[in-house]
Amino acid sequence: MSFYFLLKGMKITQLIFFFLFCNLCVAQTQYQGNVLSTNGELVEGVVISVSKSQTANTIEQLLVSDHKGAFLVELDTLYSYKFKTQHLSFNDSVFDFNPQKQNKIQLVLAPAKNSLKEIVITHERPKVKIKNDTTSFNILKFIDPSDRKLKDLVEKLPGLTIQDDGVLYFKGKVVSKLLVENQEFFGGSTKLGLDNIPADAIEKLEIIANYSKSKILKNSRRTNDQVINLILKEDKKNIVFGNAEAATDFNEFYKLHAALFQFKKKQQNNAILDVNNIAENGISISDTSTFLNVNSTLFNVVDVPVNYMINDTDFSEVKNQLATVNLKRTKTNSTWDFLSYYNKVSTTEEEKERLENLENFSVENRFMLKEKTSDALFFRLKNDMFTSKKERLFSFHFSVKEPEMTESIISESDFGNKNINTSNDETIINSSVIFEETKRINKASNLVYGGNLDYKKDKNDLNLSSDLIFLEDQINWLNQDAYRVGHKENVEKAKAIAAAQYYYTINKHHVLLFSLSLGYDYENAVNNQAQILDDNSQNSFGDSFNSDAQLNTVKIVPQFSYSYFKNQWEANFGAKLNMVDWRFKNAITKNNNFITAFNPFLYLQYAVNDKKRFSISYNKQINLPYRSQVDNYTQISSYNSIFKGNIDLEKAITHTFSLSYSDYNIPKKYSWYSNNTLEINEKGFSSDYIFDGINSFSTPILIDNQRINFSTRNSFFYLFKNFETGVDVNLSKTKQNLIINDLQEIISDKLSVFPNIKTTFKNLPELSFSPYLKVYQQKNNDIKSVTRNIGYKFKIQHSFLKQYYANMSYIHSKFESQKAFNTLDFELRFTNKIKSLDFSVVGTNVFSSKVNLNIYQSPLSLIETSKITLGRRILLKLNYNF
Amino acid sequence: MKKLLILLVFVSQLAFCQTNTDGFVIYKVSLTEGYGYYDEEYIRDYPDIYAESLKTDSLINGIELGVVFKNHKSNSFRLKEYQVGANKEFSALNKVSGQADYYYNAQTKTSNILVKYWLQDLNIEIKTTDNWDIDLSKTKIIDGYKCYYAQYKPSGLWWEFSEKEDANAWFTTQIPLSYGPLHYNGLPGLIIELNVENVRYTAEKIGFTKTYDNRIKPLKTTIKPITGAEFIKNRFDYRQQAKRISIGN
Repeated sequence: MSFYFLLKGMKITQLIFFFLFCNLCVAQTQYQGNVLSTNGELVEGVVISVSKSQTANTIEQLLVSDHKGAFLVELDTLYSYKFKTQHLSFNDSVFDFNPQKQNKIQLVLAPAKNSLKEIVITHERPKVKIKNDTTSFNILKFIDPSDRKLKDLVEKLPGLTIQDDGVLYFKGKVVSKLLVENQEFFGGSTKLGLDNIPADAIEKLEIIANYSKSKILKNSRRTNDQVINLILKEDKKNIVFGNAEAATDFNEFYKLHAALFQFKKKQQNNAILDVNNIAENGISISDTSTFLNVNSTLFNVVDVPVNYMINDTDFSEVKNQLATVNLKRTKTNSTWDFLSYYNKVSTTEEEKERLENLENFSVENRFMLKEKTSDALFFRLKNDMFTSKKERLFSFHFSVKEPEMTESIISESDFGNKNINTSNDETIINSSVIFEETKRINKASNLVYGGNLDYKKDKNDLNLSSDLIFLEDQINWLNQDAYRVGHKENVEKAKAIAAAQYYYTINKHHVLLFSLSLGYDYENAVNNQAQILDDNSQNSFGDSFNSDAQLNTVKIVPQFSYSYFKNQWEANFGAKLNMVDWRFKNAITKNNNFITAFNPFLYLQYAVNDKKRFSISYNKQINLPYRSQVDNYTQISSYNSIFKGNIDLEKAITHTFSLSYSDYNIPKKYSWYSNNTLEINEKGFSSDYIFDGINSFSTPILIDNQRINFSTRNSFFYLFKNFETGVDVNLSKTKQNLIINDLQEIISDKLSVFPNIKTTFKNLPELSFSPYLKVYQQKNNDIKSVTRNIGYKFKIQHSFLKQYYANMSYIHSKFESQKAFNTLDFELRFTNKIKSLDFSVVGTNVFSSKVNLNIYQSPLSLIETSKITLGRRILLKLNYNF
Repeated sequence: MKKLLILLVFVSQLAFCQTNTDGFVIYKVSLTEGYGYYDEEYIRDYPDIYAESLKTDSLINGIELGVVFKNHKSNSFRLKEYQVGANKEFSALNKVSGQADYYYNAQTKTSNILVKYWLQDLNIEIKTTDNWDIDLSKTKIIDGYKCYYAQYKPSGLWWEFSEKEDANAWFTTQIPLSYGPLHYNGLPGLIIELNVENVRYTAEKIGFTKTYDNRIKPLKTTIKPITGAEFIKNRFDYRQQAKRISIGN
């Protein structure tokens, strides 16, 4: 009504002016434009992109000139515009048009000098392809300019996850090896590959399930091995490429790193050098176990002198030196592979520890300073020979490791205060030879046979000293101001195995396997312990503290199994018969035993389609006691614990049932897997403990039905348009009976929940938030204790202005209500235009209070530790890629 | 006056630029998901039919289409004709391009499909002007060409009894030609990728030569055109009618 009165009150001229004004406000006006050539000819079929001058990159309308060279366009008169023209016979041109100043749109095009003859369009392959056992990722679809190493890239690929120690999982299963161009990279080491291979060298990444190095046996067995294979870009083949990196804070911290790679058709030459004191592992435990996996069908090399893992939260000082080389030479049917590494690690640990004994509630407070140095040297020479009828494997390993440790502890407890010093000096030498041949006898039968020799020598020298006596109930002592105990141990082990497997393929769906293994193990251990006193006559402890023991074992293991694979079904079942002649003797006792055990196994898998898969398995295992578990002398292992072997131990039996489900649906953008395991120890080894204040005495025992463990690992992931989310839920429940003075039932539950959400908007910073909850609950008879650890990780990263990249991550962790750890890391990086040089500032743990608190709970004790960490560091880093 | 008219026509003809936008486009056909019926039970019960459907898939993945354009008109055709005899070859070809001839006039923005549909000759005429919803915010780079997304609006595949046709295209203004495979034309740029349900057509090669000029067919027909919507509405009747005729009442 008010609008009506407003109009009524106006004169006609005012009214006209009012409507004109309204019209101006709406301001959308239609214009006709023309496209002409410089000769004045009308041009049809010209594509005209219309955008506002202020936002020239945002196209608002797309038009095509009609057969009269004309077009109609609606424009807002408040803005000025740009018209971009495109036509194959004319040069692309841009015209400005301001509706307030101009009223005619005339676009005049200059003819193109060169006319096009042909355009070829290369289409990228789809992101992910699944074919039989191989899942291929088209890396070009996933890579972005801020990705430097393979690790940065792999984290983005659906289905792949990396643990902190470099272990890689695909669909919840471990990826056992990393290959480059189908050849093992550093023996298949995943961590070395993830940390060193440049992301931009890769064209395609494949995950190969059921990987079999042997082509002859490929169709006779399912290996359950998953490997990752990288296909390099053509321009990265033959040339030497890699990177050199240097970082420093001009004061305390530094890192020097260089990696060189060359992948030729018949040669691969790779070398990695790394020196740092910022707690970066060049090599991980999983790597060293991959070095030992030489793809032998019959044998495993079980022992490797791996250096201990380092991190920046457990050590106050860390130095790490690593040099590693991998060379390969390929002839027509044979490949020689040489792998070697040298690693030296030096660490200092400063720790305050509160140890509560859950059996008698005695409390000990320890202040500890530990200095450790370890040198490790490893060589491996391997030869693979392939023909269509025969494959041969030869491998030789040799390794030496020399760890040294000194530790000083101030112990305060209700039982008195002590200063204890420990020093330990050890040398471990290992060598192993494997020879194996795989032969195609005829179309249906394949035979694998070979031999394996292993030798290990371990020399250990442990010295304990204190200003007061320790382990007083267990060992003799004299009232001296300083008390010292020395423990020398020399262990020699030798192993020889001859084995053969015969595969009989009934048809492509049914395969039978017969195998026989003959093994001989020898172990000799000399242990000498002494009190080192001024009065030499008192030094010796006597026989019960010293030992010269031999263990001889002869094993005969025949095995039969049947495998079936047809369509979606895969089944494998069979049994092993373990026959073991086991002979142990030392100066005091002798024990001979003939042990037999029947071990059936079953594996059943049903693949609903190429995405969904169920599997169940059952496995029965026997475990025989180690030499140290049966050697019944009294071993001083530290100032507060003594261990004594039990000659009467026999075999222990474990049953494992597992049920898995995985659904990896790329078209529907989700993945889900669930892995559930039930483990029953029908008979198992446990220990009998006697506590005397802070001292403990333990000896192994064999108990029936003493342990049941159920664990479930579940993971779900969904990719939305602009963000992704997932959750991991792991639960483990264990019920066990332990002998702690008397038989006690202990039920422990572990629950961990890790939700995760990440945004993936284009051109906006990528945000991720991952909270976590870990609950550990233990019920020991009627006493219940609960430990809760909650925390979160927040990360933001963004590439901007083409050459800059920044990230920041904040981790917050709490035990109960106590703040335990708080860390902020950041990186700001500038890259030159050709991406060969990165200049960055890297801050780690910048708000740290230098203390890391942790709570560990075992059935016997509750341990609270606070450790001095490596602390704050801000480094300038220069990385050159070539 | 007559002379003046001739002169006027001649001048106006001259006033239009003679361009070199004549040539051809080769589209490669691939399946984004198998065409066969992959239900587990079905595969188990009918392994032979399943094997045949896999064969169809592989045939579809080998098909190439050509689009030849000259004087603002284009024809879409199959580059290679199979020696059609087996059912699988026929159904593969039918799935990809139908047994039809395609014509497009960029000046009138009209696509014509001449097809023998259940014994009846049809001329389906589609005005391409309002057939596309262009979303300029969705872009994708294909081999360096910035492509924009366009959703095809009409529903129902003309050669299938599918209620909803899900077709979308990625076109680039950097190749300013308003052509595409089959009857999918009229965008302000060449269609580089076209997705019709699970079939993908990707432009592999664009040539500005006369290589395929022999495949140019002018639209000459006396059949009364029907619209796409009319065809979709009546196609069931055509089919019923054909059945009635073949049964003989």
